[in-house]
Amino acid sequence: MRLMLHTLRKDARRLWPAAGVTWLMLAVLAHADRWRADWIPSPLEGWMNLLLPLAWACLVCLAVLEEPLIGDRDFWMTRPHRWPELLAAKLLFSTLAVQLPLLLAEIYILAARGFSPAAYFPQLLWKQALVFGAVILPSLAIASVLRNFTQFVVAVLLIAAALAILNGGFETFPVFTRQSAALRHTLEWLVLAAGALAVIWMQYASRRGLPARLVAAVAAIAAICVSTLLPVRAEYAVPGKGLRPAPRISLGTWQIADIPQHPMGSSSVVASVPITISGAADGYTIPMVEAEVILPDGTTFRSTTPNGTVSADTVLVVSMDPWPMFATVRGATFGPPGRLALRLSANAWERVKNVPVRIRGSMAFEFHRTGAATAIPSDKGVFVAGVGRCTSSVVQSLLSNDMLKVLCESPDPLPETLVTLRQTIPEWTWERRLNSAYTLSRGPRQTWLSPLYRGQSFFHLTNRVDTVPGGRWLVPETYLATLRIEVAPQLNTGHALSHFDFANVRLAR
Amino acid sequence: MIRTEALVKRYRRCEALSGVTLEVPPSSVFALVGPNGAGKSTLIKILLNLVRPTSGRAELLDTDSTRLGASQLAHIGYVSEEQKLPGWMRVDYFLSYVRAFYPTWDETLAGELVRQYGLPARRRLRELSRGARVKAALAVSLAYRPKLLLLDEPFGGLDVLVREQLIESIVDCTPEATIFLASHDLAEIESFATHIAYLSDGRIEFVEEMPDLAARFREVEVTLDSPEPLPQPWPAGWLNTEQAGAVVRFTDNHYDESRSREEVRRRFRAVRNISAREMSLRSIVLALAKSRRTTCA
Repeated sequence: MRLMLHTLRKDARRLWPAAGVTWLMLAVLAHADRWRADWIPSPLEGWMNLLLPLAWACLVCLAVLEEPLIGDRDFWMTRPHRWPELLAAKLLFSTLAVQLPLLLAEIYILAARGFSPAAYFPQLLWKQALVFGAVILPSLAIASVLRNFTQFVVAVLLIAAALAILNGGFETFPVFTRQSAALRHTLEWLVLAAGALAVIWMQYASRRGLPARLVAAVAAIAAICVSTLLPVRAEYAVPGKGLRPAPRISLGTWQIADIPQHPMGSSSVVASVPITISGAADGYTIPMVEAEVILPDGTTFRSTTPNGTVSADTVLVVSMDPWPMFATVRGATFGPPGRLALRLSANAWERVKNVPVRIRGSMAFEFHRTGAATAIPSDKGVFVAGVGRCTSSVVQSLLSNDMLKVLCESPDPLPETLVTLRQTIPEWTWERRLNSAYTLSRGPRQTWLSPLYRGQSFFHLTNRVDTVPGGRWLVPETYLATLRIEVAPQLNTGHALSHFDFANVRLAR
Repeated sequence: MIRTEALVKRYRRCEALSGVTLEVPPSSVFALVGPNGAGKSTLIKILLNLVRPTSGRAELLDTDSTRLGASQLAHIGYVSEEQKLPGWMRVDYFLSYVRAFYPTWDETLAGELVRQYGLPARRRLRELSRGARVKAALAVSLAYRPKLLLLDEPFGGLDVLVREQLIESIVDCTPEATIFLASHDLAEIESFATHIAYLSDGRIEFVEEMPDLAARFREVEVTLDSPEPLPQPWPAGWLNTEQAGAVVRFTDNHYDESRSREEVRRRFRAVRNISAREMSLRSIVLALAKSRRTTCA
């Protein structure tokens, strides 16, 4: 204990300027987050969400490299350090330099945005665990098997770039149809955390550099295998098991010729398969579809999680609509002509279009029930049960058109939420979901360090009153004074995973 | 105090140590000498568990070197020319930082060493000259009066005065300690080593007490009445033989006054004079190294 504090004091004396830089960055981030009234962060905040973890990683690395564990020339190696105290000193330094300031910043943001930090302490602790698992632990492990800071910076930049690309960190537009990856990420993290703990233990207890590097490499390969080999349906198999009867998916009875095929430029074709879903009591969304198209000769095209790095020439992308961003289908509106849209590369299409194929796969269902609607006044925010604090305001779009914006924020993840504008005389309604519109932004959009989840809807305003009743886009400005703005959560009532297997389907018209 | 058994260290295709077996008695000043690349530093690093042996074992303070822990390291001092010191620390903070690790730290001695070495308390270690850095490393390794002091080429490149000053302080501060010193600078060893081991190409060529070594080696000069060819077979213990006319010189590595003279007279036909000179450690090691050198065809 005494030597742990002694080492900690030494590290603090050495590294306070570097820690000060991270505190400054955190202050900038907290300030930007505290004043943000949009679900998309400013470029500054977006970059801070990327750069601050990198800065923390570097800080942890510098602390570790005060007593490097690789090499045989460092002064400290022949001094009577006890490894548990040395490791504890590094962890305590990370806690005081990284985690405690983050906790204070998040408490400040919550309090400033009208949330009681005490009421949301479990969420704050979870964020601390997330930062420990995603930044501190990997940084400790990586730094413990590298020789110097330069090697660490190169390694971290490579890892960060890979993670950013894989997670769409540089996409300008939000992706609405990104499928759930909670199980995949949890398994990846567990594998990497186990590897990191083993590496840290091996290095601090006995400084076994080569075996520790081997363990790190094996853990990284295992995580990549989990990431690439785990089928998407696994995400939904666990929550969907046995809780709700799975809806049935059958081949539609209408003619395939009635369903259009959409050429997607010259490189791909979207072919549609008519389907019927029955046996679903509540409203539902379909967050995941996995499918295989099997040719008579056994050739199989498999669907893949859509992302920007997959070549359309070699894979098949499946969605419930030709336009992925509108893939979510509600039970209330789903019906003939329901279809499974298969986007195929031009080469694949040539092979499948004139032969009877077998199409099989899985669909995940998330069932919803609409919760109680809460009216929000136009001049101040209110708490909506099951959602969070919601406000409305009139803002200008990029084209200087006025828009009514409804913003909800909460320390808990936001559920699917319906925002409804009701005009009583005449009786008109406009419905939107939170986050069903997007804001153009430059730079990274991830805000994983924020203690708040934010979501918003836009309603475009018009100075005309002859808008088609119920039109989804235009709201007459003159109605603003009398409009009732309602927010209602779509309460999740369960999950299910259904499978389908259609034989002898002909995709061509 | 130190014991090694058949210690082998292999780096890929290169064998740095080839079955080194040593025993260093307590309270000795044990010098490990040998040319650059002989494996001296590797041996010390294995002793300190900085490097793991490929096979064999080493023991210090009755503990296997691979199990050295804080309780053993608290009694071991180590100074190496290639040691990386925390350059950002000022000298006074360096001493106060290291002090906390050693229950036996003698603050008076530390202060005395700093004064004696003329170390500037407020200067950072990276701003010091090489000699001053070695002094700082030595000061923090002597101030807790270690039972075992391992020195790996500590005085390389230092001027004679500084070297003498450091050697003097080592001997004064650790009168009962065992000192294990690796060096290729024989002058710095000769004055205070009690034992010597010669390491060449990863092999121990000999281990001996200094007086025995000094007594065993002589540079012998034989003056003959007239030139004559060297008798064959030539004794294996007569090294580096040179002949110039009627004068034959060689190094006898098992010199014994009466036996060696009798052997010379028996092998040469007409011996006019035999003289045997004592050799410095430097000359002995040079003679050994020279005798192993391969000559070009």
